[in-house]
Amino acid sequence: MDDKDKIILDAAKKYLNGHPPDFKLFRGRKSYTAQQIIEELEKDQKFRAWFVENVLRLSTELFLRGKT
Amino acid sequence: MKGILVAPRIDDVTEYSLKWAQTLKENIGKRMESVPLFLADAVRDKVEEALTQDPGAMLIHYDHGDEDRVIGQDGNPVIDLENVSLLGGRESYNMNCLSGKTLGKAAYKKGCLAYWGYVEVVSFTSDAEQDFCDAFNYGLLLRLEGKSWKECLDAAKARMTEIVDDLVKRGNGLAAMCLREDRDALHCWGNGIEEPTEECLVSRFIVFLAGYKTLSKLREIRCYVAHRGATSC
Repeated sequence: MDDKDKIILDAAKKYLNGHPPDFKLFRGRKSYTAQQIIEELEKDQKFRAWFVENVLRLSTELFLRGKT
Repeated sequence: MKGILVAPRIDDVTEYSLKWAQTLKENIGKRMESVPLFLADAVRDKVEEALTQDPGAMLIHYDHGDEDRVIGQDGNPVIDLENVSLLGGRESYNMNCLSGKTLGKAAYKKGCLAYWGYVEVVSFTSDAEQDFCDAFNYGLLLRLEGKSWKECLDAAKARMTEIVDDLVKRGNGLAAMCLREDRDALHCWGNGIEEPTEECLVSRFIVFLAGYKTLSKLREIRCYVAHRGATSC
């Protein structure tokens, strides 16, 4: 895990800790509670890569459009 | 215009997609005669029968798919590369994972007038259910207003971008992240809309040598290995 991943994962944990227990992320056939997302980010390299890439893509898009 | 609306409910994901399909049916109203094939009716035999009876009807499918198939209530494909020719001469609107990737392109080759679908796994979050419903249903509702598929695609992507920005403003970054990815995975294959090409050189070579079915089989094996036995994503 590189520094960029660590920064995003720390932020993701803070973000997800405030989510209600009935919150779910659905991806394909899989579903994840906030706690399960945190666990997957720590143990599943593929899931982490997907998450980090898409945080970066969203951030870049917002940055380029001048949105905050 | 007539539409055959196929929506199974086989897990917690399809709980949502079935609701979105029901909302779509309500919003379609009188603009389209819709034939709902929900739940137990969302199976291959009934879909094939409905398509055969109405050669010009649009096929609308709400959820679970893979690169070369869309799934029914029994977990089996309702449309795959074996019966994709049923999409020839008609339009198809899909809210499912990945089917735009291979099935949509195969449909285009079989004369499908427009195949609306996603070329990646679709993601959404439970706390923005209505936003995702609006985003996924928007393109078809525009089509029923008389817009061309190209106009529908451009407008749907623009609407998704507006929703992404709104989600960010509301502090829902995770939903925004998912919808941004969904937006970029959305395509509409058809003459004068988007004409598909196989982007991967290896895939193009396999298609050239052995055809789409072989490529599809190889992708199926890859999917099986990647998902430890799941038959669709």
